[in-house]
Amino acid sequence: MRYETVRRVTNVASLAFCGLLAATAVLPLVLVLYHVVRNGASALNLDFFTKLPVPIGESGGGMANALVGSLLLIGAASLVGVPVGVIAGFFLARQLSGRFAFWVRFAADVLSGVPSIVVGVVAYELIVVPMKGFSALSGALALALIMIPTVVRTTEEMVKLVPYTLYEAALAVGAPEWRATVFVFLRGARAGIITGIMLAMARIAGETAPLLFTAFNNQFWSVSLTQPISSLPVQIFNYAMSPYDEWHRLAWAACLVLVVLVLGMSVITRMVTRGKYEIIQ
Amino acid sequence: MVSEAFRGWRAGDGVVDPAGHTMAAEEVAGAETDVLAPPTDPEVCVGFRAFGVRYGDFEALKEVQLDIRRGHITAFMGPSGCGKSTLLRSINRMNDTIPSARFTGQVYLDGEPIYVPGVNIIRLRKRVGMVFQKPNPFPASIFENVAWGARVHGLYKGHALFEHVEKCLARAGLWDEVKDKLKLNAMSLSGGQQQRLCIARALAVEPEILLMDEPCSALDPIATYRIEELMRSLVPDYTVIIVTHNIQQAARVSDYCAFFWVDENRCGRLVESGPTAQLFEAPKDERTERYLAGRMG
Repeated sequence: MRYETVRRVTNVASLAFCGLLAATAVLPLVLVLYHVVRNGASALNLDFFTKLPVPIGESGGGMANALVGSLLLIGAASLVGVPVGVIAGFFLARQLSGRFAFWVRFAADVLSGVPSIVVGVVAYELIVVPMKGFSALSGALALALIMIPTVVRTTEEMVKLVPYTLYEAALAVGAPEWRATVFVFLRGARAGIITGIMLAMARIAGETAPLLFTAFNNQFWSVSLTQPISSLPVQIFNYAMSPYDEWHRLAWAACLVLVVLVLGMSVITRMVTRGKYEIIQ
Repeated sequence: MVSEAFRGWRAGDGVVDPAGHTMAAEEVAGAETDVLAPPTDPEVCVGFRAFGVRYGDFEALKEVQLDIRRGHITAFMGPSGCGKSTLLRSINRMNDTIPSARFTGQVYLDGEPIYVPGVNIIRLRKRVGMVFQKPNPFPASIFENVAWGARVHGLYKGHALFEHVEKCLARAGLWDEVKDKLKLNAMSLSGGQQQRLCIARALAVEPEILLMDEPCSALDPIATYRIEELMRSLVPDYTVIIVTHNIQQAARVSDYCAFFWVDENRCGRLVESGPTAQLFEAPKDERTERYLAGRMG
């Protein structure tokens, strides 16, 4: 064979190999979506969104309480996690050196690696035990702890990407340092920070382990922070473990809703922040 | 006042730095007694007096004695690392953002020392605007880029602010090009337009002096020509000080020139200064002559 033919064949073979592996990487997502949609779509109806769970033996019923419970938990967790995470990330980005910044950064990295069930146990110890009962509050705090490191590190990275010359420009027109910081860095990193927050929210939306012994579960309607609360992941866990076909169907439906919720968040984030990175020259 | 001026200052916080004090006192003690006297000529806008800057152990610039005339364009020329940018950034105290920076001597602005405690840096920077080497508009709308500075200083509100923005953009020769897209992101402008927007932004806080740190080095020749034309139109309303690597540019736009050189310790020194024509036609120093002839630097 001529040398050029060898080159061409090698090229095609390599490309095919890379394409195959790339397809393999996407395969799990396709499988998940396929099974969730196939099993979940048939069980999904209006009742799922509007009705409460019914006792075993009765047909019908829905997961209105779990859906609202999940949203409430995510909202409450964000209320704590987002301000703490964003401000800490801002601090790290503007405080590049220094012992304290080093330890904060290190702690955030370690925290992001702590298994979520461990976070749940800690929340149990800190809140459930003193309050003498499971509560939405303890669940939200456990989720907030999981959220914080992600928000901290993305905020830090995004703020660092804002060119320092913009900050100098703001100072040069005579802005006080705080005003220059807020205007330049917050504005410049806004899109990236929002992405980080949305990804963190999407992540905690599916967390089950830390909720098992904090928010626990609730078969009834509850929006109280001091009472146990139902959530989609925990409800899926309970229903999927049960021996009843009716509950299995509902679990699949809940899976579909959860996946759509998380995917929706990612897609919306992409759409909102598209083309917003142009300041990074 | 002279003893005040001997002191070195730590960036930003205005605390006397004892190390700087010692060094400055020793250094200046041997010199003439009036080396730190403020400029008496009312035509002098900025006066450097035995001025020096060091970053930690590195001495970037020393013993600068220079008067800058009001309503003219003064160019700082010289090879890289000769301290001309450092000197420029000393006038609006931008070097204060570098924690290791220490200053000796004094800089007078309209006869008032600016390296003394209690100087309001925000008001100083309002009087001394700055344009940077690379166009650096804020990631905001064209309107907001110009309006922000005016808003920070509470200069105008409502419709008056809009008129002010229009005036500044017109002064920077940009109004006709952007009047229909004021809400557009400033990043959508071309490089030359961005630089003129940065000039409009600097003008918006109504400064007396405009510092330009190699404002054309990132621009093509046509955009450069427009900025140079614009600079000429800004005098005598403003005092313009420009740092440039480009000898032809200095010859084209400036009324006065200051030539800097690096000594054997890599420390920047002022070699000579004077009216541009005089400096180009009859340089006093051999280094200036060789640099201008393109044989050095």
